[in-house]
Amino acid sequence: MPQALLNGLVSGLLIALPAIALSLTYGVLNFANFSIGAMITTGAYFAYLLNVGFGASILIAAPLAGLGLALVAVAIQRSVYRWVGSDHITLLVASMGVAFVLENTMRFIYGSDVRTLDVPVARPVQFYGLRLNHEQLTIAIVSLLSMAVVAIILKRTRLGRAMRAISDDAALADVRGIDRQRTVDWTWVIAGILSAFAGVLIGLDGTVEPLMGANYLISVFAAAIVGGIGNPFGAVAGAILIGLIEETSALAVSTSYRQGVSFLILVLVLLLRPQGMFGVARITR
Amino acid sequence: MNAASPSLEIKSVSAGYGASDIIHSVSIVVTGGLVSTIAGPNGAGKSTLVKAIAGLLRPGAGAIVMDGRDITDFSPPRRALAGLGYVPQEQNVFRNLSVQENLLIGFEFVRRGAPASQYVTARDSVLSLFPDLATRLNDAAGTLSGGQRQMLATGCALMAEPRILLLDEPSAGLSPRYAHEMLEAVRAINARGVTVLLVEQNLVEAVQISHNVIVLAAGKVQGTWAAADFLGDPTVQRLFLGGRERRIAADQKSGSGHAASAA
Repeated sequence: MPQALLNGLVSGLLIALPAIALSLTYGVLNFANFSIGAMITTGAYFAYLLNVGFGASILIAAPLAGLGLALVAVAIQRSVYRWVGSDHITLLVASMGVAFVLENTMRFIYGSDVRTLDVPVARPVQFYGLRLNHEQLTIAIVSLLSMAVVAIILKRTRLGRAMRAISDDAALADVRGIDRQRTVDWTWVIAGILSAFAGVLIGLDGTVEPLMGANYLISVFAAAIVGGIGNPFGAVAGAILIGLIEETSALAVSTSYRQGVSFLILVLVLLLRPQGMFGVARITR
Repeated sequence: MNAASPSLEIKSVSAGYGASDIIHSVSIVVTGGLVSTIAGPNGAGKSTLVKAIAGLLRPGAGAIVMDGRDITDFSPPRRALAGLGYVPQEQNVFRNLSVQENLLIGFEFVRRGAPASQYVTARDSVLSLFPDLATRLNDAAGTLSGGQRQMLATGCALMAEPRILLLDEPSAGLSPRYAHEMLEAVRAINARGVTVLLVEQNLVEAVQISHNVIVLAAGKVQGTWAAADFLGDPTVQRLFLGGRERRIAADQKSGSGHAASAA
């Protein structure tokens, strides 16, 4: 059981990265980005290209993959989302289309083969009878550092205040002189970097293949919604909860039902507390 | 700034939602350095006019000129940068952000690149105008009372040091004490040199702090009066003021003025 909790915590930290990305774009653009899974996949392939294709160390490949996906995300915003209007259903459907394009581009180039990143093998860390492998340690460190950086951006910078202001009331943000397009672009930069990091970390712990991100889609959505969609800090708590429940449920049911467990939590939260753990019921007048 | 020059000119503006216009060919001149009040019954088109001036609603026809510059095609952020401050009637603060963050946002996007010392000066000036906010700086704006929220919204607009301040019913829904304080604050803001365009239901008090009153009814300008002549004008009373308002106006003249703020 303690081992399952530890694995769940690490798994939650991993889910937290795309869950934060999902929450940020939901807050600033007001739509549910279904391409988040495909973004994770694309980020992982970018790192694979640099790491295996060009022989770059993963320490160089991962940040560059983040940068590459950030640029792709901004390009998609400017070429797709900006033009489909502001209706959240239209945007959601557009993001499904984007997911198909991204995923199949990777499939077209690399095929459906399962690939692995080229990283040195290291011994797991053992303490108090618990086992933490090197990849899990990397996941925990990268995830915690990324969260700290996002928290600082949101709380302490002008960009962060602009993002939170737009998320709170977009019309008022306009009145206050906030440049919405610019803020939206930067939100995609952050979402792109977080998604790419998640892709690399999943690739480190497992394999790189076209559906790797899509396999996390339900967990990521469940995390963001459990935490109160649009609230990035809630998304972290939601992700850890989802990670813990997924891993501990593996003690009782087969791991192939892992997504089913997330889905069940998602449905329960939507039925019982649609605003999420930390969301406030919205009062509309 | 030449006080007698027009700060804001609304030139034959028609605007509305969808195909039908709510305001028809409205022309208003807002004189620099003064407080002008737009009065009119519910449904007169006051909010539509305010939204058109603020840039939230694109006029179907006409032009909006600020300090001689045509701003009709400016987006709301660009209008803010040009020196137009706007305080919406509702949803006028970022509820999940702290009071302090709201004030900072009011400053930092319009006065980009200004040194931090200017922020402190602007904030202290707002807090001296609205001392209630000083004890609530770290609280979420959504937890403020209605009156305090209105003060914060007005304070946020002032943080940008606008030349013209557009206030949409600042005393609406407030207790008499807060309504009075708000309108006194408007007087103080104007005394600092800001041109004010005010939309107000609380007419008797609004007229006392105004220089001019413009009456809007059925989407059209019915006339402009000097504030001093407004309440006593028989045309105004016939055209616009209901029986109750007229009684209050009479009370006001005879010196029992507190009746007005109890409305």
